[in-house]
Amino acid sequence: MRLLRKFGMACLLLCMLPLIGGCWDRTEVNDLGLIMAAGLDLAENGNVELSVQVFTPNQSSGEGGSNSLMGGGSGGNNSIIVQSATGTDFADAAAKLQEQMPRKVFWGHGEVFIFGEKLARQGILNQMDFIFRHPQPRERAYVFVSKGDAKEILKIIPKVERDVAETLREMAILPFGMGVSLKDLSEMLMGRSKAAVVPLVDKRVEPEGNTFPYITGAAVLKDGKLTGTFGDKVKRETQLIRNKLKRTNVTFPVSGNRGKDEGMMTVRIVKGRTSLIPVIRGHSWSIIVRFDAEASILQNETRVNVTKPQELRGVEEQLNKEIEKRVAETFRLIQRETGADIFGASDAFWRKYPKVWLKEQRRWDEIFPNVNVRTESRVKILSPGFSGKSYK
Amino acid sequence: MNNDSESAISPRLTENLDRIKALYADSYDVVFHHLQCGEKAAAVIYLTGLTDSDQLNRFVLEPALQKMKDQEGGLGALCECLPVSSFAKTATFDQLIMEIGNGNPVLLMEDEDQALSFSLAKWEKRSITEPEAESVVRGPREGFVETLIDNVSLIRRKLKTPALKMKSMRIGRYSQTEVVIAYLNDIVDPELIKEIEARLGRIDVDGILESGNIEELIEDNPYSPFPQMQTTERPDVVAANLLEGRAAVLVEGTPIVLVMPTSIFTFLHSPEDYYQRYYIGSAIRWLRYLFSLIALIGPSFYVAVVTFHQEMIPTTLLLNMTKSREQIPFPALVEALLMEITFEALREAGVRLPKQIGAAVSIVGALVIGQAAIAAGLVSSPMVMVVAITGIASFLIPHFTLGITIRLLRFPMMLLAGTLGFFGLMMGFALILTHLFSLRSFGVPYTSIATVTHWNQLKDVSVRAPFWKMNRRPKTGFWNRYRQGSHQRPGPPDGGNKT
Repeated sequence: MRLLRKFGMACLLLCMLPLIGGCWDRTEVNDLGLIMAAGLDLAENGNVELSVQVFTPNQSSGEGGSNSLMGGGSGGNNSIIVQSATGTDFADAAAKLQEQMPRKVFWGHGEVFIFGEKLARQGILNQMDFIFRHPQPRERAYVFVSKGDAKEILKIIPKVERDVAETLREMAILPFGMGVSLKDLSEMLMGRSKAAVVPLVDKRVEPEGNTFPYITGAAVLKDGKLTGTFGDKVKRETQLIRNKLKRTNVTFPVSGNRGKDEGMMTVRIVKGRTSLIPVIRGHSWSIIVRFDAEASILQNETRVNVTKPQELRGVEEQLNKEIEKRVAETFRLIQRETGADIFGASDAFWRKYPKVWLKEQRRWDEIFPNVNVRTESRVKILSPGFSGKSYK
Repeated sequence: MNNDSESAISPRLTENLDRIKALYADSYDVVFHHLQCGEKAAAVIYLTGLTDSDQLNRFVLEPALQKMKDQEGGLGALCECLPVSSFAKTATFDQLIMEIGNGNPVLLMEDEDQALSFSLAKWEKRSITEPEAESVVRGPREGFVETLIDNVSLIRRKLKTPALKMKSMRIGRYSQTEVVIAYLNDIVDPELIKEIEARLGRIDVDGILESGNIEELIEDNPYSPFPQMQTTERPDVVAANLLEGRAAVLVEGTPIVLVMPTSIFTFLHSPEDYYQRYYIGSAIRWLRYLFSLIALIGPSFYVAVVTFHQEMIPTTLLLNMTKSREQIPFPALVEALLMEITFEALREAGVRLPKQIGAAVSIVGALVIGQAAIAAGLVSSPMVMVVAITGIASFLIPHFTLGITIRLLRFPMMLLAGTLGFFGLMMGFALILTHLFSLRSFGVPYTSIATVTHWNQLKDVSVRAPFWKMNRRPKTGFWNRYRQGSHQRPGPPDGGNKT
């Protein structure tokens, strides 16, 4: 009898479960407005304009379920629409956006956040706060700064990938893509240098009508404000100094025995590793950028017989000189133009000279532009590739 | 229940016959054959369908009439001249009635207070066939039948030792079903046998028609959805279990034998695990563990993810799922329940129907839960896939009893997942685990093999270790702990050291 009563109680409690449970959290997939990518632009009167790519399931193909069984792969490009809302800040704009949409805005699958150039110049820290404070956006989402308006980038309908978000995400993952996730960005902005580097996206229109977004270079943010944009080459060297470049191709001119120009040679660099070695002598702060890597020859347009180790030594030397030159140039360019320490030099100084750093850290913005830089490239060419001499 | 005068056989033949006739009134299949045995009157009583009348004529009636024609003497003399190998003298009336009930003809004689019963019972029985519920690719093809003595002989043939004990008892007021407890004397825990005997002795019901009737009456936890005894119709499985110190209960009239105690892992093992190479046995075991988990939480996981945790679905998959769910009028939970109930109904229909119609059911079923359901906009295609995988997963559990339990538990899990998401799923899972860990089978914890601290015991759970590694018997084994010699690992001649 007691057991029966217990059982009855259990049943009763179980019956209450649907009522007391978290049913209010229940959302069907088809009630969600899936945000694939979001862009923020500066609007009039200091407002921000939020543009989002919303996934709209292809309704037209739904009259027979058989289509949906085939999978949505054929649905393709027209299932993404761009919608915008303007508000005083990100959160306000997001609330306005929700008012425009019949479905619940869902940020959990937003993989890409793009800040427009104008907004970035004004500063993105305030808007970043929303992305981090809101429970849904992923910290693994990638951040970009767009040349021009972010909305224009979002409106592109790319041909290769599903949408702009997917295109940019895939590009960011590639080794030279310089992908910066929200987490990376926050680490950079909160770090000692308060400087960050973010990939710069642009829209490219081919005459055949193929339009696609691509990563054109790097945007440097200092204290959350855009201080300079740089081209493709700077982006690569920056990645190298930041020790993010494991493999790359380097094309460099080779000069012969008597200083005669022999032509170009390209090597593929693997196992790249960069270390920043800070040195403080009196009041002069300097840093050594040391790059170690292995290389193999990818294209040889010169007469150098790459199968002979003694001839390779000379080529190696010229390669290293070229890398040293480029790296130093890039470092100085960033120093001069932005004054933002995007390389993590401050961390290197802090680690080696913690006491000096504590004393001088407030002056870092003054010190950094005057840090002397020396580069040491120690790339070894290990293999002539799969071929012998060149055809010359 | 009877006092001596009632239970004793009276020396007066007619009195005995009257009593039997009174007991078997209105039974047309009871035969009373009167004969004159020498000078004395005698009668043979038997049930027509259950007795080999041919042998009765040749070996009992004929000699009795012929040889006793001119002889004096009663039963003793008759015994000497009968060419029948097994007969017994019965002194009590109850026993006499029981012998008749078993199909053994009984001979009563004037002036004798004993009766002769001949083991000439014979009835139509099924021959030994391949067990249908537990088929194997490699392994013996014989299965138990409905005849108890045949089943006993099947086990006896596998274990020829005199240590194999077969204790018999009768259960059921009216059915008087013979039940046999089989065990290996040297290996089994004597307490277990005592416990089984006590539990069987408690049973006081009208009839036992199948071992399932007994199972329900001797379980440790009668409210548990989990089976607490292993059921099998394979003699090799019973023999293997006896060798591991378990006991078996055989019941007259059913090919299903109960084996106890058991653990949940036993239900996930197939006899073939032990007959195939151990790599394969281990791999298939892990496949079963994985899929029994899917069978339990497959649909509920899907429901929870789709209704509460959309951020956990890979983006591309979510987009496709959104597309296919766009036309569905029901929430995911209703959709899942709809499909699962339909699936269970189809399965049940397929099992109960005659084989010829079963094929039609499967065709209709394939249409219902396949293309047509999607085309009608009732369910989405991912749901069909989830239901299909869950269905296959539940068929992967080799023992039907556990399979059906898991299929049943799937439904409360779905409700929990549909109302509370992963939280509910975990709650349900924790509840089931708590229950499993508190459950016992004949006093042995249901999860014992997995919870013992000695890794030795895990050899037959986490993997199927090679036989030459499993030197110890599983569980208890406080004495007689080694089941084989210690150097069983095979190898090349001379240990591979030949030069």
